[in-house]
Amino acid sequence: MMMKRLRALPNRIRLYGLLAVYVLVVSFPFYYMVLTSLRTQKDVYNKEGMLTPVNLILDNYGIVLGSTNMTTWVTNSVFVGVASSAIALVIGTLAAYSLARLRFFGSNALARSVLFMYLVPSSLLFIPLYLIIANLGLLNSLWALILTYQTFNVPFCTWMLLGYFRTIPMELEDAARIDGCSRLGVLGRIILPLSAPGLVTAFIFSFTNSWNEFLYAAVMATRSELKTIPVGLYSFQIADILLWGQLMAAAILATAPVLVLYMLVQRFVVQGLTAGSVKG
Amino acid sequence: MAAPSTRVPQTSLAKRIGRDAPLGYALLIPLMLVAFGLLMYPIANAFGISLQDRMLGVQGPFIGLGNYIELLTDDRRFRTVVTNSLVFTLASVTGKIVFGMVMALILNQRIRFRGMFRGWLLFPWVAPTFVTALTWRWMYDGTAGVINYVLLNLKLIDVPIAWLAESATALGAVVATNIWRGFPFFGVALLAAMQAIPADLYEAADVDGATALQKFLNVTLPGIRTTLAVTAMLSTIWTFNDFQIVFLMTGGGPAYATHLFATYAYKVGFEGSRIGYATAISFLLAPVLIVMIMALSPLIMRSENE
Repeated sequence: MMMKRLRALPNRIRLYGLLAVYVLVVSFPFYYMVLTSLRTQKDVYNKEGMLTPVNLILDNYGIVLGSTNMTTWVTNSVFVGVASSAIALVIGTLAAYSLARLRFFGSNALARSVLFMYLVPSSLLFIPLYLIIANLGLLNSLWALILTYQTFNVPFCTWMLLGYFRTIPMELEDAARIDGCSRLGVLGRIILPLSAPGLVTAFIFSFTNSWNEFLYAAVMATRSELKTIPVGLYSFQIADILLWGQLMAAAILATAPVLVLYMLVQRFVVQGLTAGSVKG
Repeated sequence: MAAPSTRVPQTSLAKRIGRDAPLGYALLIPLMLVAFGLLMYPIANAFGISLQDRMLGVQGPFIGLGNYIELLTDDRRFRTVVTNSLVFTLASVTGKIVFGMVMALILNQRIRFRGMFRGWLLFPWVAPTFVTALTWRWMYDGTAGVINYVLLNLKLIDVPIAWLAESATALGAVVATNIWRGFPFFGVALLAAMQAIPADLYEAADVDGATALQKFLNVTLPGIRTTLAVTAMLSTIWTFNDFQIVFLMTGGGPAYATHLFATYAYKVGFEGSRIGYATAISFLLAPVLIVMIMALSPLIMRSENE
């Protein structure tokens, strides 16, 4: 009966109806997150008008920013994200230029192994890395995270820039070489300026991957003043009473920077995907 | 060119290695340091530890393959973990493919504000996983969760369900969240592949009087085959190795109903301190992983060349 009625509808209406279902399913959790963050602890559990925006307050945001360690965690996440992405970008740029432009024995095999590096999952690596970091005496320092995040940021930046560098016409490089520019001069004067969008995108993806990372941070930086945001939020929720209003406020504050960065690089997302930036 | 056959091709070492070799290798040194220092050496080191009966922070006796043997023959929980991982991966990836495919097919039509919708539908994939996991955990709440509220009001259920606290529903609930988080990635990747299919193929099919289904099977599907395979394989690797979503939503419970490799290794190693045993759990992922990567690498190389 339902199916018959559906089939009778004109195509366009069915199409937009289906699209509306998608938009609803995608949007609802975000809507509910915002709604919860704007309610008192009592209202959060109130079943009257659970879906309607009434009695909204901003207190949770004030509490999260004022009387929790949230600002410390944000600072830690920013520091780790910027430092690990910057280091990875330098390493990745050098390696990608070498693999994209220089011909030497083994360069193709090495390019392929960069991809394999990226595919080694953190579930396999977290204990080995924990043991090494413990041996180095770096447990409970942010350097533990900056170092271990290179395991995914370096291969990611290298792979992405490798693809980007290959799109720059070889003729530009040859012309500069004929004019007497060295290889590194070409990298600095031709390739890097032309790759600015690629470099920015690689940096932003690395930053968000670091920002979202949970497992390494959960085992290597456990002291409260060293936590990054994901681990900090987790410590919110194992408290006896779950303060969902505050937790959702903190979650929104943690999502906002990622969404802004995403909008900046939206154009490159599809290219970034083919460069292997998968987390699904 | 009297006798070209007598000209021996240059095979001197310098020629074979390549003129660019010194600089080429030099630029790769930092990458190599990461590969050896943060991947190969830690893995080799940890393999040694997986052969010890070792507790966190202290030395332990060498027991050979004892940990592996215990895992494979004696550990009933580990068997549950393997089953969970397979179900979790298969169900999640299938769901992501189906919902992602429909999303791509919708957005591949002539739709107003298509770019805006594409960006909007990508949000679940952009939002940090820990935020998604915590939000859904709250929505699944047994007493005050909004999912129960909606389902009760629609009369789809009679009593509230503690979705994440009952072993019958917990794994399915986590899978649903995981599909929600991951399908947009498939949608966007498949859409990009669909848009690269030349329009005249569809026109030719129209001339031949093909139905919508025939066009999908004979034009669309072959056109997106490589992208679909690469995306599915990558997603399989990532899903099989997932940690966050389960750890934050259920912690592996109730009664091991949702534990995956990584969460079980974490529990054994960091909550139970049996680090040698936990390392062995992680390493049992390796054979599965190697098979998946070997299946994937020719596909990626092909898509790079296309």
